[in-house]
Amino acid sequence: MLKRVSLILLFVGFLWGQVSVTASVDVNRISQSETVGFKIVATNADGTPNVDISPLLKDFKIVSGPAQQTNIQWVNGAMTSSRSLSWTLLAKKEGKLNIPGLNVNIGKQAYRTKPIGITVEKGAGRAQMANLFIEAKPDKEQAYPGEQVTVTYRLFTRLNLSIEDIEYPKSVGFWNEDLRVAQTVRFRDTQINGVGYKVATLYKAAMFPTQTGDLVIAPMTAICNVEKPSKRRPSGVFDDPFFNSMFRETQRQFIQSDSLKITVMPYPKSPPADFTGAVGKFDVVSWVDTPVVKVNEAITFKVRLKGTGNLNQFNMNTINFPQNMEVFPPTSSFKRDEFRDELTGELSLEYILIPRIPGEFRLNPVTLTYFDPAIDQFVTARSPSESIAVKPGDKSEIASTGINREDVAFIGEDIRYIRTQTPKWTPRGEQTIPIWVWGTYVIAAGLFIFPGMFSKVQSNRSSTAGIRRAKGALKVALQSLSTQAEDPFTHTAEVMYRYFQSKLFLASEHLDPMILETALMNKISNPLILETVAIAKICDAGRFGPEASEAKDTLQMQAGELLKQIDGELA
Amino acid sequence: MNRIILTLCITFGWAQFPDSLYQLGNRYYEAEQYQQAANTYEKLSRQVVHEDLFLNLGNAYFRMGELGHAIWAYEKGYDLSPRNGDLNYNLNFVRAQVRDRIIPPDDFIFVAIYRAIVEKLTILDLITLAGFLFIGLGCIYVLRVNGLIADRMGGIVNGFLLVFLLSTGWIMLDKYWEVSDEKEAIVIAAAVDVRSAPIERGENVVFRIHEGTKVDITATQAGWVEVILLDGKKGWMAAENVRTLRSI
Repeated sequence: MLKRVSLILLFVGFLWGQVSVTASVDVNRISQSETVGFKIVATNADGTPNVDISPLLKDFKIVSGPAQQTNIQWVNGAMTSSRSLSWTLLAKKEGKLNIPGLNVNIGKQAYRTKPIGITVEKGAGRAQMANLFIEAKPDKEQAYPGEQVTVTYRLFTRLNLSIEDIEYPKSVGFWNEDLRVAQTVRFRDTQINGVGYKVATLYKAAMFPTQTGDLVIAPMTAICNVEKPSKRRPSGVFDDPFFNSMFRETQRQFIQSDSLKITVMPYPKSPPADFTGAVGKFDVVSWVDTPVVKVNEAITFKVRLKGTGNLNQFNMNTINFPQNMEVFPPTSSFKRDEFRDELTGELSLEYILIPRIPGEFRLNPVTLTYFDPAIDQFVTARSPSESIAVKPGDKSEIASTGINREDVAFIGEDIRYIRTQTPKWTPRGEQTIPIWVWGTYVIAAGLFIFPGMFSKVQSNRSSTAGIRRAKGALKVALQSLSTQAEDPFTHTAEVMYRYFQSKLFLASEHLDPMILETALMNKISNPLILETVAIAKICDAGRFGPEASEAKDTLQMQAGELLKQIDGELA
Repeated sequence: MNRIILTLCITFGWAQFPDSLYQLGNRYYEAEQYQQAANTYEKLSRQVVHEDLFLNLGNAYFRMGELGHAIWAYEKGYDLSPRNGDLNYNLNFVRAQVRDRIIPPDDFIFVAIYRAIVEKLTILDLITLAGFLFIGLGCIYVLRVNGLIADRMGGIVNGFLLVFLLSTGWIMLDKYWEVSDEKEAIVIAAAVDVRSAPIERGENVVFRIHEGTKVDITATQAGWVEVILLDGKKGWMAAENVRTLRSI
C-alpha cells in the first residue's frame, strides 16, 4: 500500500514538476526615453505570485502593469503551467541600473528573483528623436526669490499621435501657479532648421522661487500613442493606400522634457524692515467713502493693491489707525487677471471704521515695500493719506475703551426669582370687574343719554315759561314792592304792570289804566278793578304831576295789598 | 434664626392671613425650604389668587424638581396675567425641559395671529377695551349731534370704532367659551402610559407621555380621564397623573 502511494506521488511530482520563479526583461540596453518590459514567471505554481515591487521604484517608474497571464502546455504527456506578471518600466535616470532581486510569495512559499542589469543610455537628443519631443523653456534662468519664472512646455512632433496622459512637473523650492493647462491639444505648423513640425503648448506655469541657490525644475513626462504603419501589409485588391490607413497600428511612447536649472540669486541689498516678500511691481491706492461723518457713524476705508508679481505670497503691512476709532476686521477679495502670462491681479481690503469722538482725523498712508527685479531695487508704494472730519453725533458719545464690544452672552440660564412684595389679593372665586372699568361704560352711556335729555328739558322749560312766570308773578311783585324806591310811583306802576303782564299773559309792553281795566273785565270783581285803575291813575299822576304826593308813602303797601286780593280772585 | 422666626410666626397665629402666609412662603423659599414654601403657597392659593403667588409657587416646585406642578402653577398665573414677563420667561424656561415634543398642526397665518392675540388678552382686558370703544362712540355721537365734526369724517370714525367694538365683542365671547369649555391639565407623573380604554391592561397602551406635558381632557370616568394632545393623539390615563388647570 505504502509503495503504491509513493509511486502516485512520484508520478504527480513528475507530472507537475518543480516550482520555479524567474524574472526577465525584454531588452537590456535602452535609451532614457524608452521603456523596458519586465516579467516574472512562476512555473508550476498552484497560485498567483504575490510580488513586492517597492525596490523597483527607486530607479524605475511603472508605466503600466502588472498584467497577468496563465499558460498551460502539454508536451509529450507532461503538463507545464506558468503564471506570469509583467510590467512596463521607464528608467528615471541614465547609466547602469539594476533591477534588484524581488521577493515573490506563492501561497506560503517565498522565492526570490535574481537581479538584472540594464544599461540606460542618455535620452535621444532632438536630432536623434527628431520626430517627437517636449521642449521646456524658461523665460529666464536667473531669478530672485519671489520673482516669476515662466516655464512653457511645448510638444513638437512630425507624427500623428494622441496624448494619453501628462504628468506635470513638481518642483521643490518653487511656488507654482498654473498659467495655462491645455485641456485639448491644438497643433500649429512650425519649422526648425527648415524641417516642418507640428507644435502644441501643453503647459505654462509661473514658478516663484522660495529659496536661493541652484534649483531644479523637474521634467514633464507625457505618454503618447503614436501611429505607425502596420507591418502586415495586405495584398491584392486591398493593397491600396486607402485600405492601408485602416491597418495602422499605434505604439505607446513616453516622452520627457529636460530638467531645468534655475539659479536663484539673493537680493542685491538686504531687505528693509517692512519688506514682507512682495516681488514684482505694485501700486497701492486707498480711499474712504465719505470724508465727513458724525460720531458713531461707520466709514468704509478701502485699500486696493494692484500689480504684477507674487500676489498671494506676502501680507500687507499693518495699517495703524487713529486712537478712538473702532476698527472691524477687514473683508478681502482677490481678482486674478487670467489673460496674462505674468501673474497679475488686484487685492482689495475693506475696513469698517467707527469714530467714537468728534474731531479731525488723519488716516496714515498705506504702504507696501516690494522688490522690483526690473531695476534690482526695493521700492515702497504709498497711498495718499486721508483726512476725516468727525462731527458730534446726535446721541451721547461713547468714550472709546479700545475694547471690541460683544453681545452679552448667557453663561447659564435659570428661572427668574420670586416676587417678594405682597400683592393686592383677589379672594378666590370673587374675581370682579374693577369699578373704573364700569366707569367707562357709565361715561359712555352718559355721552349717549345726556345730549338728548338736555335738549328735551330745554324745550320743556321754554314751553312752560309763561305759566311759571304767572305762578311766580305775585311773589316777584311783592318782593319788589317791599323795597322802598326813590320814585314809588314809577316803581309801583312798573311792578303792577309787570304783574299783570305775567299773570294775564299780556303781550303788550306798554300798559295804561284803560288797557288794564279792559283786560281785567270779567276776571275779577268790579271794586277791585276800580281800585286797581285808581292806583294806576295815582301812579301816573304821581309820575307826571305833583298832585298825588300825599299818597307817596302808602302807595307801595296799598298796591301790595291790592295785588294779593287780585291774585286770590284770579286763582 | 429663620427657624426661630418661623416657629414664632406659627405660634402666634401670624400666618393665618393672606399677606402673612405669602411672606411666610417667601421666607421658606429664601431659606431654600422649597417643600414648605410650596405647601404655604398652595394653602394660600385656596383662599386668594394672584399671578405673583403662582409665580412663586411655580418657582418652589421647580426647585423641588416637580416639573409638572411647576408648569401647572405658571399656567395658572399665565391665565391671570398673560403678559407678565417673568411668568412668561419661567414658563418657557420650564417648558423647554419637558421631554415630550408635541408639534401642533400649522395654522393659517391669520388664524395664528388671532390665536396669539386671544392668548395674550384676558376677559378683563377685553371688557376694558370695549368700555373705551364705547366712550369713543359716545364722543363721536356728541360731536355729530352738536355739528362739531363733519358728517363724513364722523361716519368713518364711527364705522371704525363700531368694527373694533364688534371684533372685541367677538373675541370676548370666544375667550369666554374657551375658558368655560376647555378642560386643560398638566401631567404631573414622571411618565404615564396612555391607553386605548380606561382599563389597565398590558396590551392597550397606545403611547406614553411625560411630566409637564399639557393635555386637554375630553371625558372622565371613575379614576380615569380621556386626554387629547395638541397633535391629535388621544387616549385614557389615570386621573391621579394629571392636575387640571380649570375645574371640570
